[in-house]
Amino acid sequence: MNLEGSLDAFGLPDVLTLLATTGKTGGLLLRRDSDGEDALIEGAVWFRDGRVCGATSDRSRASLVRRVVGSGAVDDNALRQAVARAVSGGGGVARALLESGSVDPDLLRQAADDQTVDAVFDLLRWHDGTFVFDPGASDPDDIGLAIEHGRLLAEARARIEAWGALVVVVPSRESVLTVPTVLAHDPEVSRDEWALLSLVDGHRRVRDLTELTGAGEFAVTTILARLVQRGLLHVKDASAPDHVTIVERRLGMLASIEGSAAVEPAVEPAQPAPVVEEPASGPGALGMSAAAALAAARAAQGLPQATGPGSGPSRTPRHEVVPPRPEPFLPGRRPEHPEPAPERVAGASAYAAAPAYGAPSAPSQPGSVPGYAPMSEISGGSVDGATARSLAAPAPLPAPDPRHDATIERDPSVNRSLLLRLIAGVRGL
Amino acid sequence: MAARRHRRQGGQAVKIVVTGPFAAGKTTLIRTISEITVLSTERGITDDTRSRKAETTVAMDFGRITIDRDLVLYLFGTPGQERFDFMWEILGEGMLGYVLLVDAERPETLDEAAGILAAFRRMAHVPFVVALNRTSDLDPRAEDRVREALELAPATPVVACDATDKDSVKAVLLALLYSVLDDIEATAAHA
Repeated sequence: MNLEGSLDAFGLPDVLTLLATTGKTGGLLLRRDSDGEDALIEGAVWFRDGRVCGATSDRSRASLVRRVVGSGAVDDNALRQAVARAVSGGGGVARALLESGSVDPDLLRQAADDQTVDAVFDLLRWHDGTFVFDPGASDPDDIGLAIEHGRLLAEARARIEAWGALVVVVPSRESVLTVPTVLAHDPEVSRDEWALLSLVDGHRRVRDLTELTGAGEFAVTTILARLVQRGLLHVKDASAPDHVTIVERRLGMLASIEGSAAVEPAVEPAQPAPVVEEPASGPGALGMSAAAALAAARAAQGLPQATGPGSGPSRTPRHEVVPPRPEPFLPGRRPEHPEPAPERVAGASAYAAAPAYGAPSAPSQPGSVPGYAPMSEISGGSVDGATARSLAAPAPLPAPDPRHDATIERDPSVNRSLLLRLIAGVRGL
Repeated sequence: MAARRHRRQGGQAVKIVVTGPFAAGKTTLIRTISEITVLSTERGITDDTRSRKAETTVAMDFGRITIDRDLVLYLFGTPGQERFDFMWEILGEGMLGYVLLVDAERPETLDEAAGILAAFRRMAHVPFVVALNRTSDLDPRAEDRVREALELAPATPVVACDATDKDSVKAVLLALLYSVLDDIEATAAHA
């Protein structure tokens, strides 16, 4: 009998536990029908001697190298050569980058770890599909990871628990986000948040942002949700007018007293648009003039400045409200000496690819289990920076296996209470 | 060896290993109690043991019992043939305890059982029980014979077992769990 079956009958965690416990080497290949598409999606989790050395939730994509590209850590030339080498040699592009010395090994290792957790996070959300274990299969992008499956499952499950709160804020991969033109407070963002904010253009969907960054759906959605919760992003409502339209409509109301033509709306409202109240974020609330707000709005949305009579912005110095975009997801700065990170940056680094690269792992919280995200931070429903970072940051690698030096002892954390639960459970079977 | 539990969704998983001589009924026992389809990597037998059964477990058996939302009990069955004894330590890692299953109708396998038990005792300092398969009631003479052959301490439970009967398998698991509980309480009292 080969190891194969269906995921609805035999869950992925059980299969992973089995393969890990038995020290298997090979590939667990998973397959399911694509939602709403006449296609199959294939995922894989690769094992070496019972340790997970890689995973992907879509074998048709070079997920790991996409993540590396999204981090800005590889240039055109190196990538081109690595692709050529992978095509001719049959290996993976990420491994080719590593072997050619074109990418920082620590950065690549971090990206591969995050990629693996993200993949298992995706695969755990497959409710149907089939699996088969192929002892001869290997990861073309195996760069030597050896992840303990317990940590992998714990991190993936922590993400699943947090996911419920995230999708309340950012409903789906098809959601489009917009940058509000005026804010109630001065914005304060981390580099990771900024890198993602700079890619939001009012047209790209969450899935597009995920594709662009290569950082994984969980990390991207976590940051987007946080930005939405802080009012720095809005989930676009196609039925509601945008801010520029609202301001122009209101300016139009001033035409009769100013004796000039109203500013033509940039977006023609086909019918009276519903009034959208914007508490505390309207121009008046900030003490800005309507004209300055409009100028800022136009600048932010890339619209040409109005030049008609009464269009104050043409006489007002134009202030950029959105600074020039940085290259997204550059590797984090590496201080020569240890230094405390600014609170915002330190607490907001959910991105796997940015400051986490080459940076030391987040210290374990008192009482937390090394290698596991603190569950108390997740169960509350909101995902704060520390939680996101703890989920995305590399967990400390388990200590070397001392199996050859000692015998198996009873787990000291197995206590009387646990035994009584087990006894009651078995009695009730 | 450092014990390791597998955390799952805020809860945890614990493991019991079922071991014993070839064809003692380990696969049957796990299949009887497991809530999932057991993964037996069985192969046809080509050597002289074929006379006992046509297929044997060459990798392991794997069963699961969900205790509650946060607690899962895994059952791992060891391969019964000596050439797979390299698997024992792997399977034993992090176990709560183990069941040594012996076929009561084949006392000639007691030597093999003693060898397995000796290996497990060297490998693991965890509680275990001996289950005599194919018996509904424990014959005191059979129990004595087993205790002597396996050099069991008086406190080590020896229980009757019908690996095809769920209640009987439950009783075996409960015997082991109570042994573990006793062990914990004894350790606590000592401390």
